[in-house]
Amino acid sequence: MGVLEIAKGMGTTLGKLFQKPLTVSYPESPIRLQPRFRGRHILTKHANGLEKCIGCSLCAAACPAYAIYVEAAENTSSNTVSAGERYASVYEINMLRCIFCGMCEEACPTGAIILGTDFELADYKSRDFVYGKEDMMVGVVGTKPQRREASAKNKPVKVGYNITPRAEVAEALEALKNPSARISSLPASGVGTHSVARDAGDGAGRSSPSRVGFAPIAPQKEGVKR
Amino acid sequence: MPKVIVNDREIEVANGSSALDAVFHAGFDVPYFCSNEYLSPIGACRMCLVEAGSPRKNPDGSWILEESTGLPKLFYFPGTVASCTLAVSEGMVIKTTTDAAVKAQAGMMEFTLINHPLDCPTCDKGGACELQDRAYEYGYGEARFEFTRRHADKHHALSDFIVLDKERCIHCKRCVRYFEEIPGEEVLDFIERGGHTFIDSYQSEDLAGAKLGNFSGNINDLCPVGALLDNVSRFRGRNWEYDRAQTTDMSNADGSSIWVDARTGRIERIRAAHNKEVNEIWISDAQRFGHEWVDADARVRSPMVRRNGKLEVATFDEAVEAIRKANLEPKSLGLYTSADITLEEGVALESFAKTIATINVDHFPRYNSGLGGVSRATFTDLAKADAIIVIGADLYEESGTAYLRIEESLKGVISSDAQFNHGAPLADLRLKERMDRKRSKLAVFAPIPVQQMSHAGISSLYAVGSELELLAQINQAKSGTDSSNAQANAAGKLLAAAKNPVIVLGSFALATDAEKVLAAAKKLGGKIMPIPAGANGAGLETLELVPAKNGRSFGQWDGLKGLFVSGSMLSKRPKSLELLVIHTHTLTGAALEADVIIPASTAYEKRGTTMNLEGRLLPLTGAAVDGGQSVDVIGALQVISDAMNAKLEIRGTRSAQRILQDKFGLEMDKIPVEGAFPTKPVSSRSAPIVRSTTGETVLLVPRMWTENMLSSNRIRESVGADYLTVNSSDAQKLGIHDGFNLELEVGGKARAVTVRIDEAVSAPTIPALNTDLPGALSSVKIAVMVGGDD
Ligand code: SF4
Ligand code: SF4
Ligand code: SF4
Ligand code: FES
Repeated sequence: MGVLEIAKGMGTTLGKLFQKPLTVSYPESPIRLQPRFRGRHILTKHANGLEKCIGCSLCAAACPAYAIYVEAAENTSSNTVSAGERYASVYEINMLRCIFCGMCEEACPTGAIILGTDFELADYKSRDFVYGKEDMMVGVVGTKPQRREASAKNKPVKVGYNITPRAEVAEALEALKNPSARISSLPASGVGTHSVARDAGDGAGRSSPSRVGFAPIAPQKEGVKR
Repeated sequence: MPKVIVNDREIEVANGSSALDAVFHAGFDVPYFCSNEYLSPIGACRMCLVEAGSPRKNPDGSWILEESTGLPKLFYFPGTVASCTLAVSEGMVIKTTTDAAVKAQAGMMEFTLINHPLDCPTCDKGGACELQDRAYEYGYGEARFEFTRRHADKHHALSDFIVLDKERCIHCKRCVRYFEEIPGEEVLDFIERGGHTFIDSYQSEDLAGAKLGNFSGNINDLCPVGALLDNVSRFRGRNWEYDRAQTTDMSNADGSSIWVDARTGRIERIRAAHNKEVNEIWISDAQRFGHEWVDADARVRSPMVRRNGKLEVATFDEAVEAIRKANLEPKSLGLYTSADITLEEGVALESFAKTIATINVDHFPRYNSGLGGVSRATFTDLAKADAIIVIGADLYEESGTAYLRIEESLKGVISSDAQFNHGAPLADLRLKERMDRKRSKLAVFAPIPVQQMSHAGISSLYAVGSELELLAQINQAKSGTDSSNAQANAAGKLLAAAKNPVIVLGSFALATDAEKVLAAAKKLGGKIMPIPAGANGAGLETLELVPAKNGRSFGQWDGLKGLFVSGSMLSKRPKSLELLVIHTHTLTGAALEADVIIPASTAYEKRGTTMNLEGRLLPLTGAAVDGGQSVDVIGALQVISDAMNAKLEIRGTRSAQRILQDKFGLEMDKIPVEGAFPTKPVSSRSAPIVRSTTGETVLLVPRMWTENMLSSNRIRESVGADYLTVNSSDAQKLGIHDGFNLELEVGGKARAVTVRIDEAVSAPTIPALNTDLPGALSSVKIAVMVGGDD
């Protein structure tokens, strides 16, 4: 090995010294994510404000990690949550189990569940990793710990990334901002669309199941999760 | 037996079989929707299309031959035919896989789907739907129909328990035929025509009052699509999410097989399971919809102990301690159980009573005689009987299975009899719509008007308590001496002419003096079907669960200091008691005054064995229900024995089954879901019962809905108020009028009732509760009259 080679090597090192560094000092400064990145789920809504989720549990069936739990209830004329006969009264994803594969998004017949961009999920208690509807509904910014911290400090949620979201995510956020915008991802089949138009006098209120009266997010029973 | 060629296979099937059954018998498949094992084939859905042809005969009886080959010439039907309504004939050729047949099936599927909403993701049938499966197997896989589909009411409440989605109905007519052909009540029909056709009951204008009878829920199981759905389980889970368990229903003594579908520890849905020899595929609405109490908020889920006069949640150790403190003599302790515990629990109780040497042990409700000493009829005997005499039974309420099997017997066709490679025929051409019923072979006698009287050729009311007289009259008429009772004479003649008669004895006949009634019924000849008072009454009477001589039977509390009661059949705490331990799932009646409560598992949660009214042993398998800390009777006895420092010989289901195995000659843990009869003769034990009535009396009538089930608001609203039914002369005597609301004290228990005047009842009647012996008379006092409408 000659002096020349050593000088060449040192030259490369020296050259790098004057380049812009690739390292990001996360979390102080945000990282740049690729558009296809799949993070914490988002439950989307139609432009008219109704939830897209019809509580069909197909996402739960498709999930390879058994991370999703759905309980459904019936929409009534006084409590219309989704655009269809049924809605999810409980919708939970256990983020400790989720492998962010996106199968749920693929299985969903209404485009209700999509994988969003939040990924900073680290938390202290395992039960805090179970995300409910209120944690995933479109418009909610950040993960549970981030929102907790923000509310403690009384500051807006600070997420540690920049992203140009992929079309599905962008559309969901867009619909929220601009309720009149037409949503191109309305289901092609009849699912969840026809019942909006159903007449109010069809008896929906008359013999709806007693449990419809539950608050939208029903508490889990004690003793079930053992 | 005609020889038939299906595609390339030659088979022989019985004369009169349908082409559909020939196809399945040969091991091929065609799609079908409207046919069902127990319903008449009508060719409504047009799905089962095949190509078929058969040879014909010349007027002289010889086959018309093909000139070129000299073989019988095949005459094909033009186009394709519905195989379910086509009877096979000698030499018939059936083709299911030709291009024409396949195209016809797929084309028909396309037509069926044209107006189907395809909302499978929100449909409770999704994942277990015949239309989904068949569309996947036989459809084109895509729709060519680009126009608007039919839109109709998606939540049409057919009753309090059944929701109809008019868009999903494919007009197979199974539900409509069911009501006419199985329970024999025509309450549904098609309305409108063509694409507008929908099904409804005649009360459609006023749905609030819609009643579809006691067996309406079976149409949910029958509907091949998601048009008819269970409102109790509406949207509670998808079909693949349920933990399913096939077990035996314990709400009556039928031993019906059921599927219990649970999710996250809660029963969401109950469906009928197939048990060909017992309930076939039918269960009553109580058995299907009456499960909400199992997960009610009021359910007792942990032990409770009385402290400073209040019942408080406690641990099992604290419960043991509380019992130990009472320091009772075993001799002054009584052990009592309801008659719906399993045989395993019964054996444990029997053995524990022996261990601590108490003679005060009993089960309730029961009659004063064991019912096993007669030649017992099975449900199949009932369906095949040529004379059926029902005495003192309201089978509509007491035993739905017996009711429906009698209806089957009147039609005279038991479809599951004919056997193919695929089991019972799918399209039994012997079954017809609006078949003639042989009403003349059924006689119904009861002290109050009962449902089945309208289907019986012979029926009459008798005075409360006059069963023995009636039996004597029938017996006399049978041997040729007529009495003044024309209906009894007719029944006697019917019996005299019959080869396989069955006599059904219900609660009204047995409650007062079962011993004498059974003896009188035996004299009539024929098989007897006595209906036990409790779900496992037939099984428990084979154990020593009745008081020995000088022992206290249930209700006889003198001299007792401590009571262990499993069940909710005690209405009040007996006076002079030092310790009351109640093993229950609901805090009602005496449980509110108990010293210690042990949480009880329900029959849906238990493993074990029961014996139904035929004497058939049936398994309980235990569904995935979260009952908190609840325990079965064996677990409750563990608490008592710990407190008394006694040894519990039977500490679990396994050890109980070893004892039962010797008794019944069967491996108890291997009893199939369809049940099995004991291989050893079993004896039955009995003891007198205490029933004393003073003053005014009321007749306690059996009811399909149990007291537990009625704690659900949905069921209570559907059933309505409890009625005190009286005739106008009794009403006058009591000073009450139609529509009055009363508070009564019936057998020491407070009851709120509404008065209803009905001239047909010979005595005032009121539905029985857990604390009552159905069919018996009980003393009654009017406590408060809360006015009325008159
Ligand atoms: S992303 Fe994959 S693992 Fe996560 S919930 Fe969806 S299907 Fe399950
Ligand atoms: S998110 Fe989609 S797949 Fe999951 S329950 Fe809701 S509608 Fe069904
Ligand atoms: S409701 Fe169901 S069972 Fe009745 S006709 Fe329609 S598809 Fe057939
Ligand atoms: S036409 Fe429906 S099964 Fe044959």
